[in-house]
Amino acid sequence: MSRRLVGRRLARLPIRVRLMVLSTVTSTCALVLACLTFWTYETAINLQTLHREATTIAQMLGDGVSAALTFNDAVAARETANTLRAEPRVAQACFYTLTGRAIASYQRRDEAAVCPESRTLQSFRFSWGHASLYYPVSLNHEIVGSLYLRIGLAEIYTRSLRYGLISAIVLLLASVFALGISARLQRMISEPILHLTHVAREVSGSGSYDLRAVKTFDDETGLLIDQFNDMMEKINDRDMRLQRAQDELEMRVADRTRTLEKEIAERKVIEQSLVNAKLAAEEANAAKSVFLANMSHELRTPLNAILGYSEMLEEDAVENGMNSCAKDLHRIQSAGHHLLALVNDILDISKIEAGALDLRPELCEIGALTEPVIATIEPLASRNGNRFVVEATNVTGIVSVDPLKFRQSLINLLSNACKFTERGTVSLSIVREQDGGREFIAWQVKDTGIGIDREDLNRLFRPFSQVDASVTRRHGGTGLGLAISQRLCRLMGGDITVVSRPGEGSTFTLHMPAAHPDTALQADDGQPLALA
Amino acid sequence: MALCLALVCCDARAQATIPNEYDVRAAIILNLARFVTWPPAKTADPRAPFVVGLLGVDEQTAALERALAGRSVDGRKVAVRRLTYGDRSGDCFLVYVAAPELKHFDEAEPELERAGVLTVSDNDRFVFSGGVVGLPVNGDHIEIQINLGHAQASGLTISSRLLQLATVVGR
Repeated sequence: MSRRLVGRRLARLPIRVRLMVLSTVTSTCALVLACLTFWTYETAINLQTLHREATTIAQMLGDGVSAALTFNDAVAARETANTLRAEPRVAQACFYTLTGRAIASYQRRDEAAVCPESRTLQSFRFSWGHASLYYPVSLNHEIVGSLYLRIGLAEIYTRSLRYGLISAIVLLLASVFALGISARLQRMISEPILHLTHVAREVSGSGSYDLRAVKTFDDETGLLIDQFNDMMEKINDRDMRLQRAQDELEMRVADRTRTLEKEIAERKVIEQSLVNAKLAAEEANAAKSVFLANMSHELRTPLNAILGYSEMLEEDAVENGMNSCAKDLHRIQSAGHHLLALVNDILDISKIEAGALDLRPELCEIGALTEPVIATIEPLASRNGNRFVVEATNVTGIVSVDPLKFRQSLINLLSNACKFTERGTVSLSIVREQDGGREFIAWQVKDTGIGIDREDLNRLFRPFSQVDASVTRRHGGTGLGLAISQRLCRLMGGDITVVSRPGEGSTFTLHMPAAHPDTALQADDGQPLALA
Repeated sequence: MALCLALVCCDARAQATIPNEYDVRAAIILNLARFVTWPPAKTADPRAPFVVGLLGVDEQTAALERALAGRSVDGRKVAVRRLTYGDRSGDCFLVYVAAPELKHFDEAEPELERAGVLTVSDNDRFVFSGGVVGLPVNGDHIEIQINLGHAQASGLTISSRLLQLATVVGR
């Protein structure tokens, strides 16, 4: 915890101080270690010397006192003991006979010390302030008694203390010296870094990347400064390039904006003209439809007169036996009928396109809807030697359609099939089908006729586009039938589709959504469907 | 240097008299042998017993017989031999001369000196009349008297440590 605290405090110091602290602490630690080692060694040597000297003293004392101990001569022993006065380190000495009785003792400065129990084994031990030695006294290799020595350690303590004091002083002086030297030497490392820091701060403050640091040494700091200068160079370079690129970009953007604006203006003009053209076209179309509708109506009046009178004239001619006249009049009549059919068709398509056709849908049973059509077509089919087949007549259901228009469409499909098939088969089949979750009734008109090209299929349902113009002349018809039929079916919610291949016949299918009686009721009492 | 020997049971109160003076002297006599070196001829055979001759009989010889029984000196077993006037005493290491036999000592002395025998007595004049060691009572203790001249004449070497404790005469 405290170590982290010290570390944090150190980290906040400037690098100069940190370097000084680093080197001073390192050298001081080394010195402390050295001093401690020498001090310990010195103390150990001192104690060892003390042991040796104590043993020597004991040996000499033992030599001198052996006779006295042998003869229990206390006086002689005491005299020997008194020779210890010359040895200030000895604090106490005791002499014991073989029986363990202390016959003489010696105390320095009249210490009232009592002799301890005697020991015949040699031993040396340190206690607080003293070292005690037991030493056996022998004579001719025979133990005759023992002695005890207590040696004061004050001298050793004093010496150790003095040694420690000198060490401390040396340590202090050396640390101060180290501090002084490190204060001088740290500049070698810190000065380039400080210089670099100063330059970096100036750069970040002023934002001018032209500044460069000055290299003083060839070491890592020199390398650092080189790299820094190199970096500054690169940044400067990049800055300039960026500026150039930006300028260029701005110019390009301005250019592009101008071009785009011009383009937009042009397009707006075009768009406006397109809208105008569209409006004009629509107006023209509407005008055309209205014109056609009116014209068809106007055309029908004189046509009816032509038909009526030509019929009357034909009847008269037949009555009067003017056969050649009758034949010509018949030609006029059939041409008039054809013209009427044409006018009717044009009227229809015009109405459809002008949105003026009124449909009157009602619920119709399929059988009732189809029956009259079959009756109408059967004689037509036989005209070209075709066989007419009706399949799947047992399908029942209800559709909501305008019966007249529906039959017109179906008859158109069937009569087309009969027209374009010779000595083949024309079949009508009614099936139920599903499409997109809805139920449909489909009237399929299939023939074995000439078939239709793929290209022609596309324009089959367009007005005035019978596949082959020559065909129109041969087969009659206005070329509007399919277009009208498809539009009518679509207005009633259905459609007409075709599948065909040249030479293999065609299949036209009229789809009508099947109506449910309950939902159909609502439609039944409604208004006639307004046609968009 | 005061040549005094404290008694074995040297109690401060017991110093007025000498309790069992004979036992103390017997111990001293035995210890004397540790400080004396005999001539080589005498110590040639290491297995030879340490023969102590008791010339005459008195209280001291009885105490010595008690004290020396089963002891050994320098690795030699102590053998006690009672002697009477005229007995051969040449193979003895130490001869104690009891008071009654002192009158014959002058005659025996030359032979003992030749044989290198340590002669001991409790008489205070013994060292002056040819004896080597005298152990008379002096006050409250037994004094050790040594005649160095007689010792040298007998070929005996006496340790300086003993001489420090003893009263030396005849130098």
